[in-house]
Amino acid sequence: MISLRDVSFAYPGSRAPQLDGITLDIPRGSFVGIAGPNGAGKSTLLKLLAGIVETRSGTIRIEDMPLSRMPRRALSARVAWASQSPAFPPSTCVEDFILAGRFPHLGFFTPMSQGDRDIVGRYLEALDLVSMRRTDVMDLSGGDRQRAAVARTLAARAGVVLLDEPLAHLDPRHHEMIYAALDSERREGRTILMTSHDFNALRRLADRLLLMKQGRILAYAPTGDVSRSAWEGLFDVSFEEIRTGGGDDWIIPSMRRP
Amino acid sequence: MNWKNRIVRFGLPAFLLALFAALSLLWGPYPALSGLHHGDPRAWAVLIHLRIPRLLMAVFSGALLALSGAVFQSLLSNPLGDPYVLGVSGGAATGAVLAALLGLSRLGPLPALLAFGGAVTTAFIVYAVATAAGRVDATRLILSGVLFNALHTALILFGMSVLGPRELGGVVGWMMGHIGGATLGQALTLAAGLAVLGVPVFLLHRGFDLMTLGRDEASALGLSVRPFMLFAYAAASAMAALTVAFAGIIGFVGLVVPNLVRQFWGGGHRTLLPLAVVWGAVFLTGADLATRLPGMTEVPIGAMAALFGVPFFFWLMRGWRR
Repeated sequence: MISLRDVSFAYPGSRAPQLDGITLDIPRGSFVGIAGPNGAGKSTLLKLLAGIVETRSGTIRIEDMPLSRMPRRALSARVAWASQSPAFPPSTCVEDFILAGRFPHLGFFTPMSQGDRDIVGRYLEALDLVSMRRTDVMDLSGGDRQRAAVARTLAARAGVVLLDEPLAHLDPRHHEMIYAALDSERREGRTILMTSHDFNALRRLADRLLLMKQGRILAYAPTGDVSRSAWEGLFDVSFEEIRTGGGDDWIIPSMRRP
Repeated sequence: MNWKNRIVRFGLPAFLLALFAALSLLWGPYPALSGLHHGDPRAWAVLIHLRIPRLLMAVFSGALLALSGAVFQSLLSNPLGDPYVLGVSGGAATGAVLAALLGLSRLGPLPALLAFGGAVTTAFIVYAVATAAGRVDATRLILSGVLFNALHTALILFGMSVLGPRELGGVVGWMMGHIGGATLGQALTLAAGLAVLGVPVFLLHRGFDLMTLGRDEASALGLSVRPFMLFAYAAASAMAALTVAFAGIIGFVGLVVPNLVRQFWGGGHRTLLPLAVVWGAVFLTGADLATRLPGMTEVPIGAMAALFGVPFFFWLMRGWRR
């Protein structure tokens, strides 16, 4: 269980807080989809949970342990984070890039084991990167890089996985690969929090949806309970519901103001 | 890495270093090889008092400067990271000019100590200026370095304008890099610096790999960024300060060598750091050899390093993808 109690945060120099009084319980093993307009505080929430920035007020606990008291590497072994704009260092091959995800378990001095390489191999395969394992990350397309960044995050094998816009730059085939990989992680009991502007992907993958606006929670409910009007209130546009031939319900903006 | 790769990666620079070292010992106005062959006692004196200290000075200066550059580049996630760019060398030069102004130029290790002090002080101030809200920003660090370089240039020019011709000549020679008058003690001090600072830096190579991913990512992957950065920055600054204090200002080694190694042999610091050390030694030993070519006898090693370094860096930049 991850619990946040009255958590607020503001970047130095900013007038309005990026997060304002967030209180939230996330059960272990759940998949929470986070949606909201730009500047809603979605990425900041994930950074707080990853311990990259510190709360201004309020507390965050992971399995009853205050996040602020966890040593850096112990926290990273439990919580893995993928940035929405990861950096790609020059002259680094895909396999080495993903191997960096094992640092929380290895530290500076533990030698890399075959087990670590097998874990990396598993995610290279799951995310269609095997043929590029020795390719320089700078030579990859945007979509390939995005999958490499997700693979590195999953390779940490942390109990909590935080993914900030992992579907950006991906074509439909690779969307499906990410869905399958995340579904597999969820079945293994990992807690996943994912932000995305692809709200149909969130509706399809997540058990619960967290709708955020201006640093506050607009709705936090099981996916099926989040109504069309909640989406409309979130983005200030009208949505239409469409049932696909396969029986999935989609919502699409109708481009009319509600 | 298989054995074949390892031999190419480490064997090639080791061979070049051995070749340059041999040439460096034997090549010069005094024909050392023939002297040794004929049992001339001066041959040993030349080798022990002049050429071996000079060779070791080139080897360890090159190694320290290249390692320092590799560390700065990782910390800043920027290929421009270099003790010269960050103002460390400028701080040392100001210290050296101050020593000359105070009439301390010939007082044993005092000029070197003042140069070292100037470099370390500048590194500390640049770091402090670049820190905002407890975080060191790479862009601010580079900008602070550039600004302090400008300030040091002004201070140096001011100092030089009031120096007498004798002191002025010494300071100008030092500012262009000078290892011709190196002593064995100086060279061994640099060797000790490489051992004391370089070994811990190498042992933490995984931390440098994480830093190239950016500060937030390194933190999320489990690196305690603030203490790591402070240690690495202090170690790299001390390596550069130590070198500049004894060998004068030698630019481009810290900039060119790590970028060369990264381009040809990859960015993983487990390989990059030791290769930067070896190639740094090769680069500067080669530059020192070049200063002994006919017609080049009075060219300072710093100028020779720049003459090699600048076109080489342009060539390297052509290979950069972004």
